[in-house]
Amino acid sequence: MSSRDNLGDFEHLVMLALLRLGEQAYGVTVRQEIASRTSRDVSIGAVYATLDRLQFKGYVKSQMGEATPQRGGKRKRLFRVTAKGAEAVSRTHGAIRSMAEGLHLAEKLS
Amino acid sequence: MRPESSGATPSCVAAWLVSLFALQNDAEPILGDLAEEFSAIESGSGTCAARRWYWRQSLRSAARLFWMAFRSAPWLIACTTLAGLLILWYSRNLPTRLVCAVIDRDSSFYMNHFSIWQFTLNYGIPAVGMIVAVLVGCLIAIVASGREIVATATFGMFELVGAPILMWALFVATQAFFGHHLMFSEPSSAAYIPLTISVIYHFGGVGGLVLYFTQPFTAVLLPVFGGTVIRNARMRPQRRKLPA
Repeated sequence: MSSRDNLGDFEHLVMLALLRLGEQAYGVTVRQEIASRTSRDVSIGAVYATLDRLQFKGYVKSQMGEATPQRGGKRKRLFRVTAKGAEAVSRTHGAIRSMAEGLHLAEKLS
Repeated sequence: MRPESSGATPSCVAAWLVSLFALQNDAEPILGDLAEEFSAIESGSGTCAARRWYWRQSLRSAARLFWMAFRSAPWLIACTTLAGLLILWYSRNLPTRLVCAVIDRDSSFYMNHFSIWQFTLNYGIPAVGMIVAVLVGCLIAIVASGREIVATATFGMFELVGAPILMWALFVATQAFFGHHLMFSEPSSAAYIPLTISVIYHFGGVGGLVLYFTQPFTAVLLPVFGGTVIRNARMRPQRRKLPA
């Protein structure tokens, strides 16, 4: 395991959004989940760029879904987290937790 | 009260921009996602707000997708750019040779029709140069499959900005290596610019000047146009498969 196996900031957010959304995870829902929980206005291009990178690393898998009239007859691309991806999320969480351990952030920031 | 959906469609120019920069497999779901959110915003906040949102998302997404396509295959794009520059370098005399060959073939005709000879020389050479630039863009796009626009835009921008900088760097390095005796003893090339412009105006008129001044922009746009042609040809079979 190398330091490259840890997730970046935005990769981490996207992976958590995928885990939250389960089978309903595709571009729109991932973007909205991140926007509503973090108040970050992200572009759909940024979401896909990250998802493509995560798929290249083997952390997510994708398959084409159904097309609807609201989507102009274009299909969805549904994403799901792989076992390797879940491991990467837990490893990144562990790294953040151990770095934050013993720090009283509220006191430090006040 | 919230406005009802009027069935307006998003800007096709914005959609086209996103489809140009997206990887081939991503174009369909990204455009679908944008259309879905456009329709939701339109029924909630009205057509104007939805159109504004769509444009903002498209521009930000196109920039991000451009960067991602570049980062995912930097060597491929560097190699196609270099190959394109080499092709352009070796074919730099092709337009002049081709036009001169045409004139030589029918020399008796051109000798009797001076204005046609002048027109052929003034516009024929730049026109062939433009065709060569489009063909180089097509070749780059064929090699850089899935990243056609990123590869051709990089090539065009390098041709416009990078190549002169490289030439200048080479010149400075040569001067430093061989000493100052190689420095220009003649006036700087900047002194020739007014003369060049007046000569172009004299022989080519306003059209000649327009060609001269738009040359830097066409250097970027024509290879990208070639890339767009190849990209559209590749995307056509995919679009046919989509349900109506």
